[in-house]
Amino acid sequence: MFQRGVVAIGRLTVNGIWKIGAGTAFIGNVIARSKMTFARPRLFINEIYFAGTLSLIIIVVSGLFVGLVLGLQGYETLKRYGSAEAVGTLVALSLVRELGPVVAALLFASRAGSAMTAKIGIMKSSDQLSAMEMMAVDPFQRVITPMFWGGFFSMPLLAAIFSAMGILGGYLITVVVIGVDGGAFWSQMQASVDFQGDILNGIYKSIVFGFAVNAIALFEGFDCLPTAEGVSRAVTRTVVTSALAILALDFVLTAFMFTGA
Amino acid sequence: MDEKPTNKSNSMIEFESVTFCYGARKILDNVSVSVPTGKITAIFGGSGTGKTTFLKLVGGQLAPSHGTVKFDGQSIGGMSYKQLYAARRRMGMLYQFGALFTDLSVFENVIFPLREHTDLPEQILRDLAIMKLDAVGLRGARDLMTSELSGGMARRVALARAIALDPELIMYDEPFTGLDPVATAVIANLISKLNDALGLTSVLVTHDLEVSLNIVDYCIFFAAGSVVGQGTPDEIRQSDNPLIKQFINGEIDGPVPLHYPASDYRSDLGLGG
Repeated sequence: MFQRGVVAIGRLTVNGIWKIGAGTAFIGNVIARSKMTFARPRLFINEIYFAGTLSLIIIVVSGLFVGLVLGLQGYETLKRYGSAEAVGTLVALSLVRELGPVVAALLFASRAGSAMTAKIGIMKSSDQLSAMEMMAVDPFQRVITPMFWGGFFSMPLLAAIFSAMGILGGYLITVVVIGVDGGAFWSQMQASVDFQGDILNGIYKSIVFGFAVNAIALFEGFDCLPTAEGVSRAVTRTVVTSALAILALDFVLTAFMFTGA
Repeated sequence: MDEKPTNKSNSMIEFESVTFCYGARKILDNVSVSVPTGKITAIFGGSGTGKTTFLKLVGGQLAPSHGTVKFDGQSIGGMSYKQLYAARRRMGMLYQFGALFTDLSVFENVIFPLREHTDLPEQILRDLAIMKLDAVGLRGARDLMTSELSGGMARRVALARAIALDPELIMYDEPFTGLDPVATAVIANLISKLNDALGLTSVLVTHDLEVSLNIVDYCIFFAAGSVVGQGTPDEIRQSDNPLIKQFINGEIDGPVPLHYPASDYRSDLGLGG
């Protein structure tokens, strides 16, 4: 029993180390073979459509609802202290610093990340990647790299749209519905949101999340067992690993960006 | 543009003492065999005898554990990334279920390798793709999506795509699996016609003896990772080799056992012994 436990732990550790190594080599390969993506912008634009444009609905609707809830909760709390006008600041800071990058990345991982893993996994299990190789077309350059960069550039844009929609949601609920003064809502927001400290840091976060989610999604697809079960497990792993990576990276980045200043 | 070697040997493919292992499992064991240029060669053998591995080694998708695989006189293992991709441009491969790109139409599938490798004007590419589709009898199906094709049609589209770049070698991985007799005859006829019309070298990996023996020029038999016999179809039909005879007559038990190696049956059932 004890021996079996040790073997299991050993196997998990070795597999984990192997996976980190293989994943790093995979990302190295993606970056090294990126030339074609930028030489043929059409490939890259198609992937921005696939990862970015097709994720717009979920990002816009979720952003709006998060803003509505944030506005409502913020107003109810701030009203007790007589500073209901500060709700604009609260909504904007929460969104651009945290909720925008983090929730948009979580949604991106579930919508686009899972689709990427499934697409690569199915291409692998139905020999499409292998067939491409035998046609002397490098699947890394032709399929994987454009997907990576398409997703990578979509992520910060989606996070920005999420934040903008959230602020709009906050405005709608507090100013239009509840009747908070619109001038105070915007002016307090303008006065307290710093471009460098808040907005840029939020964008940096979404760039890091974009790199992580796309790398995880493509690696899981490429590394999956070429069976229906293998692809389904890989999709699950993409969503779970991406979510954990986003939250862990968010903590680390927040610790560096917003403390001690 | 192409780096075409001048070495035109009589063998398009040569395996020199090739061993290939998946982990501890030996798939090919010290195999030395040649595939003659300009002929249709069939690789026969039961499931799991290393036939598909053979094709992957030729395409450089797998590397042998020991030995050398040569394509047109050049060692695949000794090629750089660029040389390997140049060699693959001279090969075509037909996968068991076609491996068509499911998000593209029939026409887009066939034009894909042409678009990737040439700078020809769109009109010429279109004409070339239509000619390839006509060669497999599917010019009229060009606007269909791959999900609308039957198994036989999908394989013919894949064949049109495989010959798009006018390869010198074409490899077929189980081209008859899962096809009805008519579709099987159509594919067999195409393999034979294309080989003669385009001056190809064809390698056919299959376990469908009846159809294959009628179209191939040379046969190689694999069993348990080794070559157990080779020769012309007539020599194979008259072979005394028990392994080949078992395969030709479809006998359930023989040198290739029905049962996977297992422990004693009685003790497995708890009956002692």
